[in-house]
Amino acid sequence: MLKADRVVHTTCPYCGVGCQLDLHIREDLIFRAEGRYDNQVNFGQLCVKGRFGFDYVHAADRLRKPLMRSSRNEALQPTSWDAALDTVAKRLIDTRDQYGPRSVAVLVSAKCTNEDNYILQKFARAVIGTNTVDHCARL
Amino acid sequence: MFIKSENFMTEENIQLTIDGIPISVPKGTTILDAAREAGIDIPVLCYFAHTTANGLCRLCVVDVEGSRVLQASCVAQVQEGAVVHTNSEKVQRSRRTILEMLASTVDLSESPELQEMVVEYDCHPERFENGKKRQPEIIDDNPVYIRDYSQCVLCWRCVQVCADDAQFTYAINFSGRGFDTQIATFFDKPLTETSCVFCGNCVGVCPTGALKSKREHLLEQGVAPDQIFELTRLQGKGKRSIGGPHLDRQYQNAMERE
Repeated sequence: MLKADRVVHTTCPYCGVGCQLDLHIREDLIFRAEGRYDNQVNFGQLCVKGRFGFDYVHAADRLRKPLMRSSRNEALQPTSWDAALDTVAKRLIDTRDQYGPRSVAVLVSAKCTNEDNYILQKFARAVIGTNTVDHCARL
Repeated sequence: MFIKSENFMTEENIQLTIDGIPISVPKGTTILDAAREAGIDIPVLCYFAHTTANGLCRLCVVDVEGSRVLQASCVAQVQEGAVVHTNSEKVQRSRRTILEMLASTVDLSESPELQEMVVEYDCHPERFENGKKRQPEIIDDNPVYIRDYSQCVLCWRCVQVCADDAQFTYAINFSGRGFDTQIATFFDKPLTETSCVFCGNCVGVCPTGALKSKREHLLEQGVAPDQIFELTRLQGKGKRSIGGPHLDRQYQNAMERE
């Protein structure tokens, strides 16, 4: 049985349930995920994603930087987070100012925490001024 | 079950003596829990706090004065005035024989706790040297975990979490009888053809190396992490190529330039 160099207590990133798990790491490679029994969320249980779905962490083609292009005809270029977020913010504000707040809709995610979702709906209502906010868990 | 109903002391506590220590516990407590409360350690194999106790492995047997046979303490409940011996000669001999039979038929190389017990109880598995061994082939029929039943001690935890203890999937169960008993799927079908949802809760509760994540298994075989990635993806549903997700050519170029 492989022995871990270190064991990291973390929260499963997949859905909003927030299962607690231990990641067993050997030479900076995650090789096992184990559910934790010391909590009232998952009682040690995990699903297929939480237990086996950590491939993406070490995937060679994983996105590690934002990519941006100035037009659709160009290739995507890696850029910095500051530049990417500035562009998104500017374009959002331009769209709002030019076409009105109802031209923007916000879709939040079940993978986010309650707090993230709260702040996004606050952003939609207070900054953009729209009430078209929805959530992917509304099926 | 995972959530145990608390005993709310509606009835009076039960007084008993375990290894000479008087102890008072609520009615319905098992001897194992009572002993742990008194600070006495009883070895267990199949018992797991988060699955239903079945008294299968018989390692937790204790000697209750006046009872005909040894009692499995993980399921036997305390009785008023009982005098329990958790480590008598009879109990030790029973545990030793069980461990010797396990060690001589099953590969315990990946269960350190059991190996410690084998030493602690002064076991001599070589007594059964010429006995039949359980050496089925490793079953590798899905991309997420392997089943190596030569290491299986039949503790039943995997079956229980697959059934009413956690997942309610009922993909695996005992198959065969006596020495040929093995955990198996319906008609020994590959897991992908059963109701298995690959939650891996069985892998999580396995006390030996019998159930193991495929990545971990390949890593132990000395396969390089990159190669594991390819192998597990190739064996998947076929949507992924060796190179990973299908990417926009432009996009891939951008990543390469980086």
